[in-house]
Amino acid sequence: MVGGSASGRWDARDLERRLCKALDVAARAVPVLAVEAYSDVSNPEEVLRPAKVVAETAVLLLAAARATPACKSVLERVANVAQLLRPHAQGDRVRALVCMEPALALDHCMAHVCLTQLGYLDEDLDGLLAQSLTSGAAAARERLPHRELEQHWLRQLHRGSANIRDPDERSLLRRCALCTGLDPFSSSRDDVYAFTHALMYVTDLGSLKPRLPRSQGNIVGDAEAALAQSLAEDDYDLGAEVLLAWPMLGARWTPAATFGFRVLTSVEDEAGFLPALSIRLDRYRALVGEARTRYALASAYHTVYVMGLLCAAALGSGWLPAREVPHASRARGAAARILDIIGSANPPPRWRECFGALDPPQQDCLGPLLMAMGLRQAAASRELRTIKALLEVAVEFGVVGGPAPRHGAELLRRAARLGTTLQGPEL
Amino acid sequence: MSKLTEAEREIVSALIESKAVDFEAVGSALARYGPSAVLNLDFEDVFCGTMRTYVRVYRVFGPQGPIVENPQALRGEIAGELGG
Repeated sequence: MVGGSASGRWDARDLERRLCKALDVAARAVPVLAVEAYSDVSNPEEVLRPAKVVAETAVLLLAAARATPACKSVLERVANVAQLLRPHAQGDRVRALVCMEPALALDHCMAHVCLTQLGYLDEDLDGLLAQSLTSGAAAARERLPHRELEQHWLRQLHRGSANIRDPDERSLLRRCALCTGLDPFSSSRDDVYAFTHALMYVTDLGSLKPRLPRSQGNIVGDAEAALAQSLAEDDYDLGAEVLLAWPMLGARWTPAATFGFRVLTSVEDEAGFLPALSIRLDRYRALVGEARTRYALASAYHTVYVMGLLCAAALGSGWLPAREVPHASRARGAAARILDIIGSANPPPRWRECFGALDPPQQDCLGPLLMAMGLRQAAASRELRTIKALLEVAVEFGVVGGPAPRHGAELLRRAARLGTTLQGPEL
Repeated sequence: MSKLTEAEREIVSALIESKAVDFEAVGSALARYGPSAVLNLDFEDVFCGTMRTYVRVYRVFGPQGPIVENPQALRGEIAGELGG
């Protein structure tokens, strides 16, 4: 298979190759998307702002350079993209915004702060940022907890003290999704993004091992449920973000995470890049010239960057993904029973093809992932009988790990209190 | 109320033009209940009930919802554009 090594771990050179591809896309995206806002006529309300592209590119560069300090091919690309980025990250427009909007100063300087870490200094802008952060209006903005954590992270990077924990961070951590957890049945994409972004900031992109507000096992359990959600929906953008949890926590790659990484790499290898759900071939074909290029880059760059970030995180953590999904020593036959109950969508999501290529004992090892997918799907369809059937299989085969079976049992108890029949379509 | 996208507007137009949603029939049916409904039903808009919505079209997401494009087609057409 692609990317394997004799050690049983993913080949680091293959991860570097994938990271280089993401940086090559960045070199194309910055000149096209960092200059003016982009929106497609088929979806005019979705506007891609240059500042978002600039900030995300800088984060990718920082993660890539930290992860591979001795990899010439990565570092050359980082240097090239950094030069393209500097006019947008440290230019007059950013200075004006930092001057005018102290409450957003760190947001405007996200790319500058990351570039500074890479040695691309701008002392004038640093001075202006420091002055803006002392303004009486600097704190005049209400943010969600994970966005507050982002501000802490940027402030610490700006001070050059990312390893010094801010006392306010503890209370923020207690309010963010890393502590409150994710609902395995009804969490939205925004909920999952709040979870993954909090993890990025609190670990300084994986370089710190902070004291977490819950056990690593519980946080990984939430990540597995979110991974099930993203794989079931072919949402590779979300899937790659969720997979960041393993290397950034320094957690051992679980069978579900190993499988998720295989699905993503197989799609990336087949498509030539990791595609987003939003990209549409009919829309692409309807465009010509520069409009076509802008559409392709605007639709694809983010998911490509997240894949690059995932490869960088895996390389930097030293915890390379496992090459193969392990074989289950128990719960034999669990996967087939769960699949019988949950059926399949038409067309089937991509994970089914990768799953079909596994040996039955490997498939059984993914029982908890399938259980989380099935329970979420049944809860979304209000099929309480299916939830009950899945939980019976969970008990029979001991597939009860992670938050989904517990939430399923709680849901049935609540439904029983309502006196609801197990049909429940009207729920 | 959020603005309709171009695709959503096309769908609404097609539903009206094809009479898949027959507004004349809907109006005719409601007219039978209009006078008594104003007096008897629990409308938020107590004057004449015109603010009620009787036809809704839902866009359903889920496992059968948005599916990513064919990877091989993406390689053939878009991968080169990205330069990756």
